[in-house]
Amino acid sequence: MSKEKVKAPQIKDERGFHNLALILMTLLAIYCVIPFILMLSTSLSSEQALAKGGYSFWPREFSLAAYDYMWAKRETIGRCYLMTIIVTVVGTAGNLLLTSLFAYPLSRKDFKPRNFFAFLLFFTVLFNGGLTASYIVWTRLFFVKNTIWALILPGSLMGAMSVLMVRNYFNANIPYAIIEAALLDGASDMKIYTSIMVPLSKPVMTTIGLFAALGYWNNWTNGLYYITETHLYTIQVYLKKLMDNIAFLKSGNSVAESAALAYRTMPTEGARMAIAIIAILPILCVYPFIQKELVKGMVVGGVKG
Amino acid sequence: MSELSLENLVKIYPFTSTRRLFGRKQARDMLAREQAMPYTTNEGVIAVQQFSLEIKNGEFVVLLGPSGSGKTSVLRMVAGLESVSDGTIRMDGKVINDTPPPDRNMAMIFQNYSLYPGFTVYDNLAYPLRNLHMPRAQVDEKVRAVAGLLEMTPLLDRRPSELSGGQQQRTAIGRALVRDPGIFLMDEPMSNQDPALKARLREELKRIHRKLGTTILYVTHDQTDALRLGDRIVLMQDGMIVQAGTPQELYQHPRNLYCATFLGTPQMNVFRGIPVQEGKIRLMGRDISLPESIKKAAGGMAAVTVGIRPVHFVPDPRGIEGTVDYTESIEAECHLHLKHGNEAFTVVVPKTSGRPYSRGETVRVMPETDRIHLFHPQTGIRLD
Repeated sequence: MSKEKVKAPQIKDERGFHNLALILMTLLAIYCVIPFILMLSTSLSSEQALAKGGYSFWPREFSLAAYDYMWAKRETIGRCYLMTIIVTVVGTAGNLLLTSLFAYPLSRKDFKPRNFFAFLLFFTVLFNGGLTASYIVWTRLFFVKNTIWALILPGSLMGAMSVLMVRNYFNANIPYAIIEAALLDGASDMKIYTSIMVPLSKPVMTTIGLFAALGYWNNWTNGLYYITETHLYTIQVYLKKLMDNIAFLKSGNSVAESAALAYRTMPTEGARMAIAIIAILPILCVYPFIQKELVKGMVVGGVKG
Repeated sequence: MSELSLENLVKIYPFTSTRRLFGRKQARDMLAREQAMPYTTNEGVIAVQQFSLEIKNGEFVVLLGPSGSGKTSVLRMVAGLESVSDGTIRMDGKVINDTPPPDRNMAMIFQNYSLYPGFTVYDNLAYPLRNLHMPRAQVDEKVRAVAGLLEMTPLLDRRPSELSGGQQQRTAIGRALVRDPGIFLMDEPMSNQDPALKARLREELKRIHRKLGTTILYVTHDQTDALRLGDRIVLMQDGMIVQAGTPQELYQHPRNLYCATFLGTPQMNVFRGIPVQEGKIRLMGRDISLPESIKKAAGGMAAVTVGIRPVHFVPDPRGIEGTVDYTESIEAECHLHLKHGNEAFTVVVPKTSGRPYSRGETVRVMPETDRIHLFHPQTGIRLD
């Protein structure tokens, strides 16, 4: 028998691709982190140094003036913080409740008009009334202007994509036989929803909840459109107003001596950045703990669905 | 315990809506596939038709058939999970066609048991009772009684993921038992288990049935489950009953060729036989005598289909000649796969016969006269 050389199967060398991917991802990560570093560095720099040398990755002249200014405003900032927390908690709870309540019937095969409702839902992804119509509806029909509901209801309470994500999760991860078993065991639809569907969909509910919470925490547009009372400002609205005021003082339109003095003495750039840091601080603290759940929920809802 | 009566049940599944499919070809293919099903109407595919069955108190009835034969559709209609297109379902004489599933006094065990994953065994057992708003003490009493009966008391705090296959099955049975239902419905509850566990589960199920005497309607495609469990087997094909009877009836007197070949391992051998004179047929060059009961059945026919089970051959020096193609040694038996010209057939001989068989060897066997089955060559119906 002649000996034949058998060629060993070649494993494709993917190291090059991995290295390229690594470089690209590193660049992307740096790109995302740079603004945050600039923000932190600016908030810790003195105003004069900023005026002279502009932004840098390291504080030019270390100063806590911006944070002193924030400390002086602690009462207002504290109130804004409280309002933000209330809006985020109530809004997120409402969002989770409405999203899952809408998604559950859409996932039930025996719910005949589910296609109709799915169409209505999807329609809102493609088309909406626009800002003016929404404003009129919320203020003239629901009278939410200058109430806490203005910060909770418009726009953020339920997202079509979240509903579709939860519905997909229900369909892909909860066997329909479990629902049928519960039906035969005499459970009502509401009981099935509360005792089976919700407890079994923790990953997707966590993801949706986190998205909603982030959305509420960072939302400043509702405050801008519907809120004029300062005691209802959230931290983001306060930041926005502060920036507007600084821009106004800086623009030179204000000729009053006191205003000019105020502008010269207040740490404008630093204050902006400091309040932004304060605003994102809670998210920065919580994120490392929820990152795993967030990714899990996104993968489950997005890929498997 | 309850009685169940199914009269002329029909289930028609509407054709899949093709409006949502973007590709025309895809829509056309899907419709063509559905229209090619054995029975269709303008409305859709007929999954079950002319299905009539009486199930007595405490009877263990098995619906047997291949995938797509309509057995699960029947079970789901009985459970109330599918609407009935036509026909009547009576339970203890009362029509329950439109009764909602929870009010039918039935319990169902699903293919994967469908235990509630987040619940403990205790909560799984208590769930149906809590839905009835039963007082907590009574729930506890009933759950513990059922757990005791199924020898599951030490497992009450475990979750389904921490249970073995057998324990999961017992939990599912317990959840069904706790409500004291009139009828148990079981949808292939052992199909995912390995053979050893399956055998144990079968014994356990049989023991529970003997102990409680509940009426059970069991769906399976596994003939071993059907033959070992059922008091009565209902064999289905294309949504219709082919034959209903005791396992012995179906095995010994199959109504048609489908039934004859579906039941029994290895499968029944099927040959073409030529009637040569009254009471005899020619089979692979040998004239074989027919049993008294079917002597006249083949009269006047040019050819008949002859069915002989592999276990019903005996070695005979004057018998049919076959060359060993290959052999299989299974437990105490040896399966000889023989060839005679273009015909291939299987013969089971006990290993105690003492001699090994090798490939190419010639073997002579003769069918046991009273175990020969004759079928009509075109319709496949048994000739008696």
